Amino acid sequence: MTHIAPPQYYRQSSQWRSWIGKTGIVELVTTVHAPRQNVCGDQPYQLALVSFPSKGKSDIKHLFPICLDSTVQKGDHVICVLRKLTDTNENTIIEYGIKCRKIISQL
Amino acid sequence: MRRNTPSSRTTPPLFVLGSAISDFGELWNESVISLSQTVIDQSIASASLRPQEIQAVFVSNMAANQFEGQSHLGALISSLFPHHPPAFRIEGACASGGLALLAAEHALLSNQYDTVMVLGVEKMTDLDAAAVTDILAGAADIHSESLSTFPALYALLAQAHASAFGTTNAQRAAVSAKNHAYAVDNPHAQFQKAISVDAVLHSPSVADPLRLLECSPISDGAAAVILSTQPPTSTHSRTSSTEIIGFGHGQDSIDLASRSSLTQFDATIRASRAAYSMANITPKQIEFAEVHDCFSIGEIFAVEDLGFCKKGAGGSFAEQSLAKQALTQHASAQKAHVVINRSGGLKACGHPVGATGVKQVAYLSQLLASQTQNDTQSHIGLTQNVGGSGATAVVHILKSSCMSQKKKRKSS
Repeated sequence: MTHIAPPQYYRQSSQWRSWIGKTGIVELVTTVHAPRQNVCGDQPYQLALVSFPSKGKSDIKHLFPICLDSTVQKGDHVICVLRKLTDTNENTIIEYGIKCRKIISQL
Repeated sequence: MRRNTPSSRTTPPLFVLGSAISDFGELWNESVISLSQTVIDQSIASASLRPQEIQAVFVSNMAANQFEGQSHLGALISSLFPHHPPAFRIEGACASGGLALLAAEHALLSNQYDTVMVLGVEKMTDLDAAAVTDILAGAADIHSESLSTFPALYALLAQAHASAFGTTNAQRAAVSAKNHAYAVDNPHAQFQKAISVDAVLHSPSVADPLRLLECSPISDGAAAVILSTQPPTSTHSRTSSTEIIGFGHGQDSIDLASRSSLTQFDATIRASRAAYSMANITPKQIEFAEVHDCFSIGEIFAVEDLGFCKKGAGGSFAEQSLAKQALTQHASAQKAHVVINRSGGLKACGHPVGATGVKQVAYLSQLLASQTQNDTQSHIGLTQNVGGSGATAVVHILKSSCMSQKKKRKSS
């Protein structure tokens, strides 16, 4: 049986709401070949510095992991989505957080 | 707040009375206690002191509670002395050692103590690499840098530097090759083995563009220095003394995304300005520097931020440093240019995180003293210790001098 951490989710949910659906542009991206424990099934994953436009102010920058089903490079447009961050098993807490996914078609 | 005028130092002297460095490496037969006991005994012997003359101990350690389940390091280390001196444990990620030194210096300069020990220790190799990576990642902002690893954060910094200044993979690889070459004759180094630039470039990728041989290893090790406001005891063997003549501490945002620049460490710049001002010297006067090359790009940032070369020239500086190392084991040629990471740095000497900042000062004090004993001249060196991806930086400047008889303290 997997576990959840209600206080953690409660604290983080307001942060998640402010990011979900936001779009930005990849400024820097690296592929992590030596991942942390219980992350992405030990597969390489990408970590990107994303720049988000901010009205009347300088862009907001944030570091986000990239969804495993998406590959990005510098200059790509991405959207923030809520995803599981870590692999789950019977002994772990399910961790959620914001990841970014490439926007395939830009109209 | 203490202010230092450019023209004169205002601090009383802080002498390095003794120092010791354990072997660094994967030391299965050693524990936090045995490593600490080794450097306590050796540093006290090198200072010609009795253990009871150590009035307090400042213990630098990042994560013994996670690596080994051992907390309360201050009390643990104090128990290794016969008189149980007051002990403090200081944590600042990989800059723990630098911060512990600062804490000790503040205590000495406030006249709370005359003579103290700063001891750094870390035992990391009992866990596998992924578990260690997880623990070290706790030094990043765990909320805004989720799933980040330190190789990944430094990889992004390497990309930013390459994009801004054209720094190449080969220039970063030169950092590793040079530091391994220096480590060959450091008996405490984890890797006493030379590697080529080509070997670095063809090692496995860890986080693009950083490769395995650009990353400092997981290490066990300890180091200790004994600091005092009193000059060294007179002994037949000691002909030089080493002082800390400047120190500085800088901070920046813990998360990379909030930094004003990704091509420099503002924390290092702030720390070095304070240290240079206190010592009343310029970067050109530094002969030896032990800098924080946790990843190859870290040394390139360091040489620029510390003022050893122009901004953006760190890559070519690394290539020149490698070429110079190959040409010169000769002291005369080394004088032309600051020697970076003569110990082998974090990359080749090893990086037991809590011990690193203390080891830098211990190694540099021994190096400067040996130079002075050889030529009877004064020598100046610098250490730069960085925490996280550049959020914390501590800089120390040391000077060795020939010991005059009147300066010596009579042995008790």
